[in-house]
Amino acid sequence: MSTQRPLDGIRVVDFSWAIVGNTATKLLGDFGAEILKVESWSRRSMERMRDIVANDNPTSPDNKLWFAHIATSKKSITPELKDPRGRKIIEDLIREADVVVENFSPGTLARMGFGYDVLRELNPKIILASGSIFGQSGPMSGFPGVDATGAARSGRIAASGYPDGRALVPGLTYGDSVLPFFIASGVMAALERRDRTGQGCWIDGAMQEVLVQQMWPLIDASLKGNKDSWRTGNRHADTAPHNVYPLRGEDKWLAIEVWDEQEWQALCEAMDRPELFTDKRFASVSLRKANEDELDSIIAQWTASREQDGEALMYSLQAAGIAAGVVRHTADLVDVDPQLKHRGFLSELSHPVMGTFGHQRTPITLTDGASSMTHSPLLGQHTEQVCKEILGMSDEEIATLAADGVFGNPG
Amino acid sequence: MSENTAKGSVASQMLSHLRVVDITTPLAYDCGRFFASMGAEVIRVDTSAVQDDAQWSFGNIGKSSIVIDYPGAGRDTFLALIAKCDVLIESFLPGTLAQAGLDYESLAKINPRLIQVSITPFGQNGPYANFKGRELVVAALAGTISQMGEADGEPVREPGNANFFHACGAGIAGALLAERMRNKTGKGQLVDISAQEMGAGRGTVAVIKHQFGDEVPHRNGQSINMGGGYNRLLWPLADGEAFYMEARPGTPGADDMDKWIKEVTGKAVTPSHDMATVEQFLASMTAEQAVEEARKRRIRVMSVSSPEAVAADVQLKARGFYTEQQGEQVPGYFIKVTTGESQ
Repeated sequence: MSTQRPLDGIRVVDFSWAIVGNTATKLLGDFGAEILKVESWSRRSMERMRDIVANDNPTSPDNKLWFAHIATSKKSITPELKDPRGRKIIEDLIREADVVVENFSPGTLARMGFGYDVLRELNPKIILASGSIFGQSGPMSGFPGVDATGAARSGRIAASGYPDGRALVPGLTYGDSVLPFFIASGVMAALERRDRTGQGCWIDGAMQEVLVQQMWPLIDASLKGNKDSWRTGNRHADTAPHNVYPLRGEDKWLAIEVWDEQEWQALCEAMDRPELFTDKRFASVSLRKANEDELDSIIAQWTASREQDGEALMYSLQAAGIAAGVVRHTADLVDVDPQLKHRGFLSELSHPVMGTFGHQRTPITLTDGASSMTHSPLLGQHTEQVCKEILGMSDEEIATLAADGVFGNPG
Repeated sequence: MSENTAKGSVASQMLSHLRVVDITTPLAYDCGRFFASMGAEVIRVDTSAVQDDAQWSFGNIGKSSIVIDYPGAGRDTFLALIAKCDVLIESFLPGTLAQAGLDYESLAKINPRLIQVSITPFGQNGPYANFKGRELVVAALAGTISQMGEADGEPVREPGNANFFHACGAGIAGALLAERMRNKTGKGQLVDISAQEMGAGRGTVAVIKHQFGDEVPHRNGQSINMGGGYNRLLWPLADGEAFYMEARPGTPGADDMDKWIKEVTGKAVTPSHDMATVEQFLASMTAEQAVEEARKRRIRVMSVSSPEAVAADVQLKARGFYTEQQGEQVPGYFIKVTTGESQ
């Protein structure tokens, strides 16, 4: 295993203030890029403002657990952009950078004086990566939105729930989590192109578009008259059984998927009901789909009557060649799931204010090339270091700027 | 042909130096489709001819297609192809390719620069590595399913192959990280992506709450917990539904809806942000009216699109998102790339 990191030597000026940008730059930073997170004491990153748990300290920007997870492997700098000297620091850093990342509403970065045309003047090879709900152009570009806005406009919400029920809303963000991987990929592709051509470009990632890419097979089927695959609950248009079934205990469930006759036979045998395999009601996929209520009822009665706990039942079904999985709750992900533990889902880092706790790693496992997650920065922690080491400022210059409030006012 | 994917466009130059071989199962078709959208030469390899399969047709847009019985008689041909490619994408359960002598170690002997992206339900190692599972079972073990459904009902999965699509995004990023490493070391490597980890990683806020002893929100139909209680997100319109995050008194934006209602109806909302009044107000408008009037006031109201609405979406059309494939409208690019002049 190499001790080198894939993005060693890549420098990113990061204007991200919300989840999409911050997750993209977490990925780049965790794999070696130097992330210079441009912050301000007066206008903070969204995750620095939100108190998630009771012991988040509302008066401190450095006691924010959400920020701690999402801003690993970054440096925080706080030059005041309203001061020409603070602005010049950012301009000089952009001259020394490979990439700029932002996820403001379209047009905001330009209003701040850092539109793509300005960036290119400062650094002709710069790569700008923008993340937004609707993209940087088009009639809805400036519409305000959040994760669910993209979900609403992509068919994702309309397709969630049961065929005869109301639409449901996923409790977890999706667009906010998925788009960053495509933006980070775009950045790395742009770096390759820049290395070949000497030219930068503008990566314009729109949540709506990435979500429509994910949803298209369902949308297309629906448009062609196949409504069976739209809002199916836990069922699947192409197979049965395919559902979650109750286990003993409160809110305990087991997901089971059967995709062929061999698996169906194995499930019948696991249930000690071999006669079901030759039962005329369930003798083919189309018959099992036609009699799915009855089929699900039989399986649900069986799972609910098991004295085995869900984990043991899952293992025994998997051993029999049947896709089965216990429905995990958040506590299970942290405390129970042996697979996530084995894979290092949470990695212990020591934070100078919040102490030591498990931080989410970027879920990409390389077999050669280190990732090296470091704790999230304190607000403005690296301003003076960056001015000195990257911009070559003297101690005297830095002291003067700090005394004049150019690095922000913690007060 | 959309501007972004057209030959000669900036996007088509992004990964034009890469040759990718794609032997994925349908859950991971999208990984190679992204590479193709960015100009890579993507060769789809099937062991037998595929006909009349909509999922295959869409999932393999932009790729060339060949048939090689690579575990059998076509093995040598396949290995010759591997010798000349940069990236192999696969999504079989761990050990499947090894049974055919096509594990990464064997392939790397033929092509030491080979980058292999493996997208699987649970990753290449660990106690669940050989567990079977497609989207539903992965969603169960990733915990994403526990977060959707009625409060007193069963957990409900999200639409489509959400976790595997997410994993494809990570697979692309992983391949490009591996390429950066290859630039430094001259060697390829295996990139290991677990769909379960992708889903589990989405619950950051809930994980934090559990880590620090706070109550973790429960699924709640059309509401989610933003702290301090559940906020309703879906509201009826005259011709459909809208997303609008119910604002609580005292939270940012809480007064905006009240002001809008008063401006239109002439009546103050009492008590502030009364849900029945908001519901009645939104239900009096069409989707087009609600979205446009909300936009003017910077209020986050957005219509919930049906399949037909997505296909006709003015924003997607204006951006050239859709392209044509065999006479049908399909999504083109994943991310738009420009040099700025056209923006």
